[in-house]
Amino acid sequence: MPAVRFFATIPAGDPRGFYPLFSDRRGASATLNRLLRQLPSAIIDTDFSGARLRGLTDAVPDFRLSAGVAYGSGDGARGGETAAAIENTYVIRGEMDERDIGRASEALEGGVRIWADPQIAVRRCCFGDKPVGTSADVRSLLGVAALGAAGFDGSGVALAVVDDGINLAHLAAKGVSAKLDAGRSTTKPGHPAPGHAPAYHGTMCAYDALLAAPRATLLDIAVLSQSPNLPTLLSDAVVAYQGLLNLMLATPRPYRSLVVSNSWGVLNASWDGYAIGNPLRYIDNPNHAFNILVQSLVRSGADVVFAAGNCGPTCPASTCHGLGPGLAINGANSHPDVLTVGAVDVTGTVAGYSAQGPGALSNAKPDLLGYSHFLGSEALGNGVPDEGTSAAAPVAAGVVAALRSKFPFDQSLPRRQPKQIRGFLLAEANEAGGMQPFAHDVGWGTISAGRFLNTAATAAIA
Amino acid sequence: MPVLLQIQGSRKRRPTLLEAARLLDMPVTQLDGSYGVQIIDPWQELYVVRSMADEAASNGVAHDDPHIGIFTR
Repeated sequence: MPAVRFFATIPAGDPRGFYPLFSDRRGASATLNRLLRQLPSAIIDTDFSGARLRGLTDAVPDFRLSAGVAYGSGDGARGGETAAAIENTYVIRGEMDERDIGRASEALEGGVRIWADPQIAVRRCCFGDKPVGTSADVRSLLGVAALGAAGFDGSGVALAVVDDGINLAHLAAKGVSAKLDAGRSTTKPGHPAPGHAPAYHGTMCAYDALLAAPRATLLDIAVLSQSPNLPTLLSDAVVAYQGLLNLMLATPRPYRSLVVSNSWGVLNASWDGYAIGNPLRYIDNPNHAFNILVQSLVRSGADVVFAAGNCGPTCPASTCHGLGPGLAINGANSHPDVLTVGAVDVTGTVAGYSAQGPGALSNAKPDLLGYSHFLGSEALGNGVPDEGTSAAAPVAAGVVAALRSKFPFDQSLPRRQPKQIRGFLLAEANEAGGMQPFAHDVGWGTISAGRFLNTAATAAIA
Repeated sequence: MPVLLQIQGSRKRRPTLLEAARLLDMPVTQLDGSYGVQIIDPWQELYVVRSMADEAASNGVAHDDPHIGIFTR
């Protein structure tokens, strides 16, 4: 018979009245025995309260069930408890067989009442949940106002959103005056011109990227389909990345810095058509052509940011088939040279869908968390949050772009290489979070721009 | 399923599709002409072409070309 957890509230007119429950110190008193007779399968958790009780010679105030802690909120479910009664109520807990539930719901002797004692945990946001906070909260957490005043605003930085296209009109309707370099943007043949895609995922990403870098110049790299049922191939991303690589290798470069935001990947293990160990395979093969190309783009000086993916253990996306531990963050999303971003809400709780490491190409993934699940662009629908690691990655990419506006890439300065910038951001996240050790759910912590204005902190990349 | 076929250049310039076919020892008609020749590592002169022919995978260094998608719910 399955066991259920319960706690019992026991009124005691006088604080000392409860003491006889364990009065003989050798075991249960008559009062407790009465309770156990009525619930024969009950096992009392003496580690919870008995240890204290056994040591009691008088009532212990902090053992009282105070109003508001449990059932004193006046909901009246069992109704009528006065503050005085609550103050004289004590609690024990334990387990009992399900067969005793019926008896437990009846009035027990001595006014004892039994309550369900379910497991509780921090509620992690999942797809379908309401937004947690707004984009204003994200700006506040990142200190965007102060960053902007100091010039950390994305000026002079190209921010490529590799996605399903950007809708500038939607951004404008949301009060975002975005600058787009249409000439250096790319779309698939037959698709809308850069900046004119139907408002959806890519528009959300652009909005989120501009939160911390409002003066960055967007590149609309529209290679993805808006529907997972319409195939886009990795070879399409190869072409898109080729254009970005050419941008960085041009002489002179049109932008000193390029930040590339990617909120896409292989959504389903079956999409990689080759078995583990096959040299053609992509998702866990560092020698795959696209992974080589990512490495080349980073070597050219671009900062590449990838979403970790939405195959987190609490509430994975519906597409996550065959992407268990070690493969949830896969392919280029797990490349050691990129910044891999999981999702956290503005209260600091990791999103339930945020994919956890280890990564397929690099064990220590995700690198850090970015803010997500807030009410922002509403590009996915009215009232729908900017959600998933899809939102977290561009938020982080915006922070990178903000940083790059003051510390642009310079081929002649080793400390301005993407590797150093990435290392700086990981250290900042770790510092802001209290120097917690790396963990596969949160990486090194949540992205932070808290010390961008601190010249001592930024000396390593100055 | 298409595959990406990797070739090693040597002339500090992008090979043509015909040159790629020669390097791969396969008919140029088996390569995707609309895709062309894409560079993946300019320092090592590594390029890829795309082929729809499964047997092309045996002609050189080949890579899967899986579907990709945006991360949605």
